[in-house]
Amino acid sequence: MSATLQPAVVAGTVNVQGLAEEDFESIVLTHQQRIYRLLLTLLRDPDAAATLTQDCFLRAYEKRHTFRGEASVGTWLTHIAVNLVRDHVRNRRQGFWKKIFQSGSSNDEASELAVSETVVDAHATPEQQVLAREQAETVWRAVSRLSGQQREVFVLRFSEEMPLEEIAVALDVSVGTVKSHLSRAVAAVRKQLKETYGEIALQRR
Amino acid sequence: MKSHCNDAEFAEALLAGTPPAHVAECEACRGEWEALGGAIGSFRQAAHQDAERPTVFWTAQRASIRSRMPRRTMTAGLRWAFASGLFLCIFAVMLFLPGGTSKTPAPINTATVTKPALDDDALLRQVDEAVADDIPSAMEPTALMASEMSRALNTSTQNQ
Ligand SMILES: [Zn+2]
Repeated sequence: MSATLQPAVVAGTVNVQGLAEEDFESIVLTHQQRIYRLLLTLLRDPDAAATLTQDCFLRAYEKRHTFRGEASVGTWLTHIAVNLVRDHVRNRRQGFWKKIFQSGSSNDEASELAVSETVVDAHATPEQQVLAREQAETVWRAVSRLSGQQREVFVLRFSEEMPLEEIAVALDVSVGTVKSHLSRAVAAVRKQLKETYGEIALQRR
Repeated sequence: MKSHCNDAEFAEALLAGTPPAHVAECEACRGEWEALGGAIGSFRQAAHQDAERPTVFWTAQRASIRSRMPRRTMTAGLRWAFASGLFLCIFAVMLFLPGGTSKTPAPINTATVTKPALDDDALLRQVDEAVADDIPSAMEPTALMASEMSRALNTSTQNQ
């Protein structure tokens, strides 16, 4: 893969008709960390995030001729990544129900699997970040109860800090829909914060 | 005093990155604004921290992506094989074709051909000698043709 790639193409700030095969190494290099982070934040599963990151770039590679430069490369990759998350969640859900019906397993197993989707990775956390980690968990608890698209909008906006217009393109919805989802997500987070810390404690924080 | 901020106002303010005006005059909303902003900031920070990986992880990811691009590697491989094969073929042709090298065919004895009355047997013998005379097999037809042409030329000259 060549090193003669135009930086503007990789960064996605220029309109191109299809992506050259040679551009791919640079595109992966530029976007892999962000795509992995997005997948990890949405799925909370490091193995799945790693696999889907690869899948995302492979799918982009397969479809490189269809890239028309209407969106940036980053937005285009985000679109692919979000679709992969949806497929993955759908398959996981199907697998879950299959497991329930096949083994006739108890509700404990069901709840265990459901909880594992929302539990934070067991990465070691520095002691001074305990409070921040607790807050992040509270937010995640609220976000995990949102619909898939509301969660995607929230993560793209508040974790990836994408502009509303780009989120709209990546998710194939209108900017109005993005705003509406964000409003619901913020309401859910507010509610969760109140439940966790209490109305008065919240005002003192 | 305006009523407390609602969800939409908080969402708008979060997007704009500036607190709602009401926050300045309401302690309750200010507390909530700070808690909300702080919690979302922590969420972002945690998401970024959790996704941090050593360089070797990203290198392995790229290697894995590359290895899973079968069409590309195969095409490139075939392309190289084809180019190498073509080059070898051209090289072989250049090497073994006498026309393209310094190895020149032995001169045909034109003196004998200019003799006016040679019978067919003598002519064939001359041709055999000329052909056998250190001419590579690839050039045999050319030598034969040259000799035939010379003979034809001489015959026509004599007839005039
Ligand atoms: Zn207020």
